[in-house]
Amino acid sequence: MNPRVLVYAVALAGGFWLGHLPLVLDRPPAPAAAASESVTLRIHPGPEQSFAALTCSWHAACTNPPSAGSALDWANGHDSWAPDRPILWRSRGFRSNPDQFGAIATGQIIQADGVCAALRVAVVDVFGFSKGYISYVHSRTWTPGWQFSINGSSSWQWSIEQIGFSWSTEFPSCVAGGYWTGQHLHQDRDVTGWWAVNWASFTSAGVSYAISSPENWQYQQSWTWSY
Amino acid sequence: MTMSRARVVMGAALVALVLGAAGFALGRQVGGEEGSPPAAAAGTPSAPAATPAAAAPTATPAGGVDPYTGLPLEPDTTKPLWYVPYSEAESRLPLFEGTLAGVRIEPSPADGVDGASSRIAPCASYLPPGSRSLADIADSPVAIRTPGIPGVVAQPGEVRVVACADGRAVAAEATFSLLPHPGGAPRGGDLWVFRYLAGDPSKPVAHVQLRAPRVREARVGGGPAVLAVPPLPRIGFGPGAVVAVPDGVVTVITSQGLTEEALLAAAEELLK
Repeated sequence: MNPRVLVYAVALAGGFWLGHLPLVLDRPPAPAAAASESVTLRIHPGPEQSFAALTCSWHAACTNPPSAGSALDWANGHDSWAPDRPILWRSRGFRSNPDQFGAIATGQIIQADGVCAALRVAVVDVFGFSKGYISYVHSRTWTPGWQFSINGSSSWQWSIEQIGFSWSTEFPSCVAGGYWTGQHLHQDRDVTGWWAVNWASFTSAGVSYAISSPENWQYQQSWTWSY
Repeated sequence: MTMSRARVVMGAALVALVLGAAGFALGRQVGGEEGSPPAAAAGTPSAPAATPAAAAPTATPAGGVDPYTGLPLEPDTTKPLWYVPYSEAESRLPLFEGTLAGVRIEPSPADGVDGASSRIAPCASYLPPGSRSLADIADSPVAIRTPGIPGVVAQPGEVRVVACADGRAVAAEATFSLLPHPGGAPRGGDLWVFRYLAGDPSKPVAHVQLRAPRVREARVGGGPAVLAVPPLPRIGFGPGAVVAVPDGVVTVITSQGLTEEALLAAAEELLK
């Protein structure tokens, strides 16, 4: 065989091989097995000011002594000189997958006027499963039914939204029943058992807390997604 | 002579280079037919594509479109945030205000807090908060029992009882959380119950926010009632409500996540 032809053939074959090789390398990996992701959502107190005064530590009703419960009372303006101050949804969300960020859930604002005026934020994860709710009593909203995004990331993402305001007055049933003596925020969780309570914190009524500090969450919930 | 040979070698090398390049191009083309993903797709975060296996949703209604929102009654619930258009569409529907089944429904106090004073029967004086539990008022007209909904958490939350100094309860409220269960709230939810003696029994008033297109009159617990049908009644997503006034006791029941069937069953039980 003419050696020149052999060189040409080798060059052609080598080029073909090299041309094919990168596609072998950048082929997609085999389908991944089912993955799971852990999510944690921490809810912080809702007063407007990020340095807020606690007026009643953990309780159900702020009697003397308070009855056992998981609610906190926060100063949030005053019915005479700072009426109807905003209530903020403050949360930090964590998700274990560093490639995933953004909404882990949504919050829907619900007005529920019972003995007292109350707001609830119903938490629903991105797949449509309820994660319970957080309640904000002695409160009203201009945006009933609205929803907002509750975000998370592997570096803990904040979500802050105005959801309503601490009402400068209350229903007579709330006042007469002894549940309200002036504008404040009573914040609680549902009883699904999903929300852990930060019992170790917020133990001193009359003390102001930096409620946006990461350690000063009020309730926390974790769950796992398999997908 | 040397120059000529060098030219030949260089020419051969050039031909070999051209052939090698042609082979490379051919190799790319042949390999490309096998299909490789666009480079950008490889690192793009993708949303989870399937629901967790925590609860099996109930069967969806057979096809159809909601006449009030234009949204399908059989959504693809495997897609993340599938429910967001439903919640948004629901929040745009007008609120109901009017009298139905013998009770006036007001989305919020029509004439401020003073108007609300007539909502609940007053007492001359009151017991302090927390003086009466739901168990203490089990025989009163405003008693609230834990409904036997599948998935219900037996312990109620956010209980408030308003009682007169003589111990007579005039109002009570409680919330029942619902864990995911196909026979109740397939994706979890809650039920809020508020009962009170009407301030003016001839004109009972309830402050509750119901979306007008969802409201209809129904018979629940043997009497007339206002029913607000959940927007996805068989899937059990979104708000629902029943309001009735049996024997002068205004009873407001609102739900999140319950199927219509479970809501009505719970209301039947609570209104007995």
